[in-house]
Amino acid sequence: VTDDRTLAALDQRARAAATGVRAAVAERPVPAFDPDLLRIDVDARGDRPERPPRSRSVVAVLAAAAAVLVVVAAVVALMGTGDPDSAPTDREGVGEARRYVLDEAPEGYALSSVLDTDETLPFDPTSAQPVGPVAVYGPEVRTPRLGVLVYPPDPGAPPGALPSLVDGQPEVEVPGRRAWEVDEGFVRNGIAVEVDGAVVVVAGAAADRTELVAVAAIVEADGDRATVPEGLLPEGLEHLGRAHYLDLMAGVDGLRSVDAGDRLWTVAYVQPGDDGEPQGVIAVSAARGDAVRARVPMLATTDVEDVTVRGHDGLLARTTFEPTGLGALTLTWEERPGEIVQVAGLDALGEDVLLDLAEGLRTIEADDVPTLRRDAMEAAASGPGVTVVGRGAFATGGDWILLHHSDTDSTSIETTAANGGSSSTFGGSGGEIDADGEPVPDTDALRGGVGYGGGPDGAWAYGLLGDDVAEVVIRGDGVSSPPVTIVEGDGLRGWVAELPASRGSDVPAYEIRALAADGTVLQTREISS
Amino acid sequence: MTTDDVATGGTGRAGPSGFDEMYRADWHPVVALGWTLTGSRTAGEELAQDAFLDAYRRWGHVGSLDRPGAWVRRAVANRAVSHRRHLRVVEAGTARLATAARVAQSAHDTAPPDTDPAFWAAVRALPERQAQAVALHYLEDMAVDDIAALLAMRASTVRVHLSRARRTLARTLSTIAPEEDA
Repeated sequence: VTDDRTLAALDQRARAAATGVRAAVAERPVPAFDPDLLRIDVDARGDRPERPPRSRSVVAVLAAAAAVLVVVAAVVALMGTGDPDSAPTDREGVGEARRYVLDEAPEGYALSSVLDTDETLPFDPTSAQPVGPVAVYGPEVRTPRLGVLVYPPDPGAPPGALPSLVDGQPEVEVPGRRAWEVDEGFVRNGIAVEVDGAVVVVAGAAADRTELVAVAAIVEADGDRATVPEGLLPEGLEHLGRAHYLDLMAGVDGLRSVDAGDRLWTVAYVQPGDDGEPQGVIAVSAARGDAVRARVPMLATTDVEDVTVRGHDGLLARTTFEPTGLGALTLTWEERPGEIVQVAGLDALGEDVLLDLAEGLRTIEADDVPTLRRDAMEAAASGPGVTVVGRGAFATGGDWILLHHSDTDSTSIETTAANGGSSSTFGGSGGEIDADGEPVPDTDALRGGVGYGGGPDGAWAYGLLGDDVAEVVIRGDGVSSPPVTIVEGDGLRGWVAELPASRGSDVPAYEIRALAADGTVLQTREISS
Repeated sequence: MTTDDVATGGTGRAGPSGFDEMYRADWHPVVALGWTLTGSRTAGEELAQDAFLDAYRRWGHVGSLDRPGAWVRRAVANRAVSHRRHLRVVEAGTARLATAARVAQSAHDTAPPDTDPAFWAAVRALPERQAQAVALHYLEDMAVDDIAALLAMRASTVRVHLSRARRTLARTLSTIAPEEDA
């Protein structure tokens, strides 16, 4: 029961929060408006059909998000596949990642997704803000101490503008250079320093302050790469290798490692709660990588512990997510030369259980993957509050199930299509805008919006339908009326369409029309980046 | 900014030369709206840039509206929804890790404590229309009729959204004090 007093307290808190946001926003001046600076044609690639210029929209926003995370990530950072020329060859990852699964999931956990990227990455780096690799330094591979990277300017910022990373940060004295302290997210104990117009981040959770300042004073920037001149390295440091920024927080936060783009194999197990929301999660990943990669979490956190796993040296990293206080455990080790394996879970699982799970990992072959995907799909369909609206198969391979979730009144699609695993879930009401920027009114024809999901191997759109809809027609980039399957189940009607694979994070523009039997357009919605 | 200001987009009726005025007057509140609905200040600024750019390109139409500032806010509110959906697309393969992803996101998008990030995180967890209505209501002290006009909904629908949203927020936030999320 929510009484008036509670609501009054809520209102008070809400208004204070709003005041805080307004004050924080007002701290930054209104940027000069320049339509030329604001426009980036993300599709200006020769292998794509010419399209009208578009605003940066979500693609740029994603790039911005990546840039923000880089601070975070960069130093963490990560993967040793970035720079074969400058990394010592005997430490460069050249191995092959096998497909690891839990021998037996803990009670209550069920397989939920399978990502087998193999040769195709799920994330298209060309559509994101280009960020340079991270150079990793330390006395030896087992103990990396600091990393350096060029931090990109904010998207759309005028030339020469400092990135917002340093906004409001206290300045720190670095001989001959402007520098600021950075200590947030996964960047612990860092210094951002201006180098020839670029901003370079130097950080290491356990690095000595004097050492950081010394490196900040000599680090060089060449394009998107930061380097400490070898002859000037402080005593006790050597170049251990380079890492890729896209592998955000892997090693510290293995639960998000799939986002990074160069995980070759990931399976996830979820423990659903009574409300259908995940209460626990375990991720098992494998990727090509080297020993530098397995130890690089030490740059981002001091909350690490050396452990032995499967007879190898492993690193157990702990992370706490604020403000919830939810914690994660990530265990990383080099299973064999060139192959990095990782097992991550929420800390409620317990370190001993996580280690036991890692000890019990087994590998499967490529031929076993379809069965695994089918298991994941069926597990999703049997969850609490889930109704199967219909089933079908894609022409290009793989089955699908259209699901309705009663708790959120949303739809999702589960597939066995390669790397389709668990697709994105769209739901709720409205939210779309038409070509004139006007909101599309809610109607029952395309109930609750439309969903779009998929990856490099295929994409699909889906949703629920009102009773009056007889046909769904889709038009869009390079697509003219793809087949749309209409299904009915348990009192619900839905539709699913197979679409060309999307590239990277760029969602093509599509128009979805719901038609009545007499051809009347009942509702139109759009999908686009 | 008062409700009346919002109702006129902060600039009143804008003519062909009114874009700059609107941009200067509405930049901050529009960024605030995008920030609170996406959970990322950077994303909020990006959405604001895109919305103002679109308004600029369509100024012949937008500038003739009674409330061009409302047009920009609507674009940001709707794109914030698309933004969050799109993030889920990018996280294809981890969609079932929603809980972990959400908390991870909140961990990486740090915000000043005075902004009460936990409150806005709870707002974003609401159904999309409820979140939009709540953000407009509290950020800009916007009246129900103005929210309804901006989001192209009936006023009665907005009242229902706000009522449900406030009950949900009161329930979910009752165990999270503002200090805890700094």
